[in-house]
Amino acid sequence: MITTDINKLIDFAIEQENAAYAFYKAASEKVTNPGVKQLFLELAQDENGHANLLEMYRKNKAIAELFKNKVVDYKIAETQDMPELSINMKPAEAIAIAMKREQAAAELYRSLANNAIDQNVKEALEQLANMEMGHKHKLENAFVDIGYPEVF
Amino acid sequence: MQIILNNESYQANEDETVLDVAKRNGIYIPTLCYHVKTGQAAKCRACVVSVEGMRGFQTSCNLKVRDGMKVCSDSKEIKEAQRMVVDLMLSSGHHNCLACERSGTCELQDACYHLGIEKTTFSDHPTGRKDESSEFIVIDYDKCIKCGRCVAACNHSVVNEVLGFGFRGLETTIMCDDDIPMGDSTCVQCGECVQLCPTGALTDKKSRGKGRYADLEKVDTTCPYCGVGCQLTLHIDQEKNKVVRVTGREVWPNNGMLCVKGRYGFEFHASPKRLQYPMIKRNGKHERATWDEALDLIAEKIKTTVGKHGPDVFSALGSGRITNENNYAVQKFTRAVIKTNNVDHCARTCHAPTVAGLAHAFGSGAATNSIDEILETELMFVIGSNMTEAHPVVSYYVKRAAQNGAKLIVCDPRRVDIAHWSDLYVQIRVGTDVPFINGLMVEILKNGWQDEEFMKNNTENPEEIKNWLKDFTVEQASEISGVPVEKMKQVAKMLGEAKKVSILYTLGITEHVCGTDNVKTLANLQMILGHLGKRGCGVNPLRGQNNVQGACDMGALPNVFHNYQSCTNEQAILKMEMDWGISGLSRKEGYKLPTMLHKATSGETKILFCVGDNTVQTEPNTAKTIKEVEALDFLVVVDIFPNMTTEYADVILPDVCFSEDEGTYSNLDRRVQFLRKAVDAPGEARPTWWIMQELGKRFGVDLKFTSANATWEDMRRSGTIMGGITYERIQDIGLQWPCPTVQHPGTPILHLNGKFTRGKGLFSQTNYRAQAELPDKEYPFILSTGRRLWHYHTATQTRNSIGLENIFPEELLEISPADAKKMKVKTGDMVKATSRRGTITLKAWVTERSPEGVTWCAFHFHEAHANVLTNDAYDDVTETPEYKACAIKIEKVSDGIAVIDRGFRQARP
Repeated sequence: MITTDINKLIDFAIEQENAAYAFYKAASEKVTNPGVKQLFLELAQDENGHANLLEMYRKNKAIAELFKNKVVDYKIAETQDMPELSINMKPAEAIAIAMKREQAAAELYRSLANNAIDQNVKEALEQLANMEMGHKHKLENAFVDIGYPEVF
Repeated sequence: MQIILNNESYQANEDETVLDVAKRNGIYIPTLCYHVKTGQAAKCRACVVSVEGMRGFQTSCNLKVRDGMKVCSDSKEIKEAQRMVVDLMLSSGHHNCLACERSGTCELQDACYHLGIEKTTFSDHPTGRKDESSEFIVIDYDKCIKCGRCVAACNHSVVNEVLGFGFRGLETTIMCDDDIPMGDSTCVQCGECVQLCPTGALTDKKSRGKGRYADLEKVDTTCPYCGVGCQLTLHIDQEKNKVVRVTGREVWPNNGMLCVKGRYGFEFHASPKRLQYPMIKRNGKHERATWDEALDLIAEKIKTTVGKHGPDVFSALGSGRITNENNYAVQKFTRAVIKTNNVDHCARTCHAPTVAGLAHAFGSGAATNSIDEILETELMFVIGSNMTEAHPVVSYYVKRAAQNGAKLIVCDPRRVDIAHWSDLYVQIRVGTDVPFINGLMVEILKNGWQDEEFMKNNTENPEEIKNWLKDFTVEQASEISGVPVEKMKQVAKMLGEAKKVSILYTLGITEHVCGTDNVKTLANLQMILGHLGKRGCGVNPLRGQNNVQGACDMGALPNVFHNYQSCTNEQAILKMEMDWGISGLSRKEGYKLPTMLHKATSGETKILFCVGDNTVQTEPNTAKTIKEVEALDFLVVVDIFPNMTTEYADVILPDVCFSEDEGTYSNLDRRVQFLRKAVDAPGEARPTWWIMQELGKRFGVDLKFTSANATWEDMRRSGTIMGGITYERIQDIGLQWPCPTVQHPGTPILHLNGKFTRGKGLFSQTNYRAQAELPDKEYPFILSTGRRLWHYHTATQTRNSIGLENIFPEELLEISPADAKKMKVKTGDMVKATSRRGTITLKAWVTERSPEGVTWCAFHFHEAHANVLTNDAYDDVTETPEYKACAIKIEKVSDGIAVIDRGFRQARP
């Protein structure tokens, strides 16, 4: 999917966010732990927010300024395997799923940017990758807060 | 903004002074009364400058910058003014640098050098007055310039409130308490005044003549006493291979402050009593052996015994006193070579209920916040913590916060010294924390002081706990705990109305048969108040030993590998097998420390490999422990000094101490900090990682411990929360875990915004359980135990450091004045304390700290230690002994010499 049409790119990105929204919503209905349930609902809400942000970006490219700064990549998602979705999953696993998904999204946009010839498209893709890295960063922070239980 | 200083333009920040800008840019302005920690004083006037548009000269240490300000510090007239001030200081007393300890670091000498003053143009006034009464600090009044830094340090930095100014005019002098010699005063000899004194007026007594500052090698490292993890600098005489002075580093967590042990308890490394060579017991006597003989014998014994009876007859103890690397080495050897999870350490005897209780409530059992946040809190609730003695540097922060306006509630059966600074002291009956805290929650809920939103959003069962508490009343709580109803209501109101509450607790909470329940109840309280996941809040256990947090982090525990990876989780087991290159790891949890020992008498534990624990003196009911140790087939002890446990060892191996190898400790706020090698170890002492490596080889396993760093890297490779902490990153200051990757900056606050590791916080329903052994007619007193300011653990380090034993030479039994009166006992009389398990004879200390019916002593002195008396009753979840409560009787043995009572604030009579 290398397109020269930035609008189509945005459509694609919004589709991804909507798919993520549906995924987290469905997941929230399946899990039993109330904390995880709430977490998935919050993640779904976040994805909704991301889709709205992309719509705003479509209308006003100046919003891209928000994604221009590279965020610190803690590379925590890279240390985790993708957990399997299960009804008994723990909050950390729910966040691990989300940060792995953001990592994958950022990698997708980055690889597309590397292959893009049109400079504008390249920039747009890099900005989308940065946006996803921002989401990954937020989730990695959340993961660190809860991802390393101390057993006794 | 910009300022012009000596005709050059400099960038300045709004909150800076002219002196700050000058210092930052390497411009020397003499300054003597100002120190960054004690703040602006503007007393000495050595730092005067002129400012365009301002009349007269200004003191630069308190002169705030303004944009465009034009300042001059080097004109002829300014220099003359500065010279005059310094000249006058030189004339006060007698400033002779020839043999002064501070020569080379003296700020007055610096000022003279920069201003070209050879000697005072006035006549000086030597008085010859010196105070050498203190064990560690000398006051030379002739060198005092009355700058007030020591007074500010004592009153506002460490807040010990001993030093002050007395008299007026030329007679003005610093003094201790009401002008009594320092050695007789309430001074706790933390040495902060010495560290901040700009001249030679206050110096370290023990360092006199041991080497000039410039001639000594400086090595930055981490303190080996208590869990605060103070950063310090060792000053080394390399030729003599000795530490001769210690100073505090002005970085977190201690910001230069130390306690008496950290600053003055340093000579033990060079004690001739150190274990220096391996020893093997032959014909009932320990004889020197070579390392090969000792290690071959241990390997042979393990092979034969484990070969015959299986791996679970072997148990090992790591230690809260040794490095992370050494704890990791012990647990990896036990698991990877012997194939058992029977490894534990002394967290079992102290904070195991913390981890169990908090992990149950939050999913994670470490301190939730950082030490420095104490200064940001609104209310400190200190419960079961004698922090001025056990964690002195934390107590400095608490006292300073209280001085700055934060409220302080101290709750303890004993009127511990920190209560002196409290807004409210709550005397509670021993072991009644659960009903007391439940009563507080009842009152909080009744008045609607709870954080309803936090409970609803961040906890799993808020309605359940509310309903359950409905059956309980403050009156019931009051009846059990002995705290008057009105006082309970007052505490609840203070807690309920504060915006930021930090709970700080220690072993008064954990060392009970209901220790885990006590911790769970504190977690309940903070979840009801919603004071979690925010700065200046949290549930903050003060971990006891220097590396007890780290020993847990390293997996010296029977249920987890390093970094709390479960040793019964198949995925974690496979990960370790792959990483360690071995197979057949045990799939079942190992024995906890007390179980290891109990099983010795039934023959199920045959070999104990004990590192840095001194089990015989530290476990409860010494007579029982001795029976258990004697029942072992083979005991190996690795330690730095002979102790009660080495007496029973079949093989003794000499270990290195904190200043003899590099490595890391994790402190009480999860900060991994670096240790540097400063001196050579005595004789043939070796680090534990080396010992485990050499033993591993004898089993055909290369454990990859070629250095401390290699051992750390071996841990880090399969670690999680410490995956990002490298030696390189912690050279200057430590990093707080979780720090999973090298890109991650570390984590000061856990459960941010109320997001708990387990999802939502879980309230527990905790019921009152009385102590296992209540006082009765035969044994009418409660004995509680703990730690003294002047000593540490079984005192092998502190009793082998000059001075500490002079201050506190023997154990004392603290008795209330009311009980003493009834028994006709006074301070200094010899008494016999007897429990159902044994008797010790020691001196009495009649003190207001003890309430009627409650006595107290510590376990530091092997001649008369508390554990002869303590009860081997355990917390049912963690097997932590009830050190805080057993029943004893007291008999007077003989009259002693009367000792003057100098007040309860001091940690000695």
